[in-house]
Amino acid sequence: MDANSDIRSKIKNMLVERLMLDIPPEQIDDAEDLTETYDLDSVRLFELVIGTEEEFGISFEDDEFSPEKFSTVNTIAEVIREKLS
Amino acid sequence: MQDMGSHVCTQHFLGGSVYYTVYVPDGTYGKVVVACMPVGEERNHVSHTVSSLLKYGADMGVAGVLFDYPGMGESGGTAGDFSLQGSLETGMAVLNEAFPEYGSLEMVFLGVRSGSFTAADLYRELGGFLILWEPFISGEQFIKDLRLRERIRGSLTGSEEDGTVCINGEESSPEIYSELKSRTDILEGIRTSDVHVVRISNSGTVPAQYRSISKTGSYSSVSCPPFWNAHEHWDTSPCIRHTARLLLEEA
Repeated sequence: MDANSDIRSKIKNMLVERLMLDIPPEQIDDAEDLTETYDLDSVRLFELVIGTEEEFGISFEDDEFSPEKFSTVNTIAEVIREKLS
Repeated sequence: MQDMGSHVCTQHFLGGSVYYTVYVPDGTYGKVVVACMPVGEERNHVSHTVSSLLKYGADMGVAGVLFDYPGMGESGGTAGDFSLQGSLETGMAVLNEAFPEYGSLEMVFLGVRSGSFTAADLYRELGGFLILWEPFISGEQFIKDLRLRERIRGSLTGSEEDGTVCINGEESSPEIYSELKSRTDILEGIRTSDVHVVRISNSGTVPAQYRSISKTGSYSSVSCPPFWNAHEHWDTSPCIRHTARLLLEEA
């Protein structure tokens, strides 16, 4: 598994765990709109941001947040890669 | 442990500005838990859980009190007036009103999220034992949390967000910034042996802010759904059982 796949896999595990999704992580598509598919309200979106911080040991300032960055597994992975680089 | 039975009583005082609920064992008791609630939306997420914990504790012989700061929950007033000093004063007033004999009781302060600031302040005033559920370790962290929540809410509703800190949708007083920024370490002045930090999450990760605490032994993690999903099925949750064990056996 390459580094990018590893990040995406961790994101999917985190999504299932944090959002208490009743599906296997691998069922989440890299490009699907998370807000729409999993009905993310502000509380769940907040949990997603905090979960990303804790899982990957990174930190977001509040002005770094935008809904687009957390809209799909691919966009979250991109944000993480930028933070880790 | 024997179930003693208990009764619950709710009360408004100070002209309706402060609301509290006491949980009293039917028999004699020597310990009281003072639950310090978080502010904002988290207050509503955890109220049922904390209430269940205190009822459980009272059935086991430990008295409890849960209160709302002015402007929060069932208390009157304005959320924008929230301050740490005001919360400490409210907590002291509630204790004087609900348990005037508190000087002869063992005190346990339960701080939930941002309520941990008040729990720690009450501990510094009165001593006892401190149990903190997912506390903010510094005031800066709490400010960041409030701002991020506001930004996320704004992004979903399409409203402008200008970096102000709001609680329950009301802009906070400027004093809260300086109060929170002065809190660089919530555990400052607190003996390690008198505090236990509880992490509540399905995740096995120890967040960065708790890494130093997790090495001291005054830290435990409970596998449980997060707060925002708590009200649905927490009456007998591992978190309540774990905290009750701390109350009955360690605190």
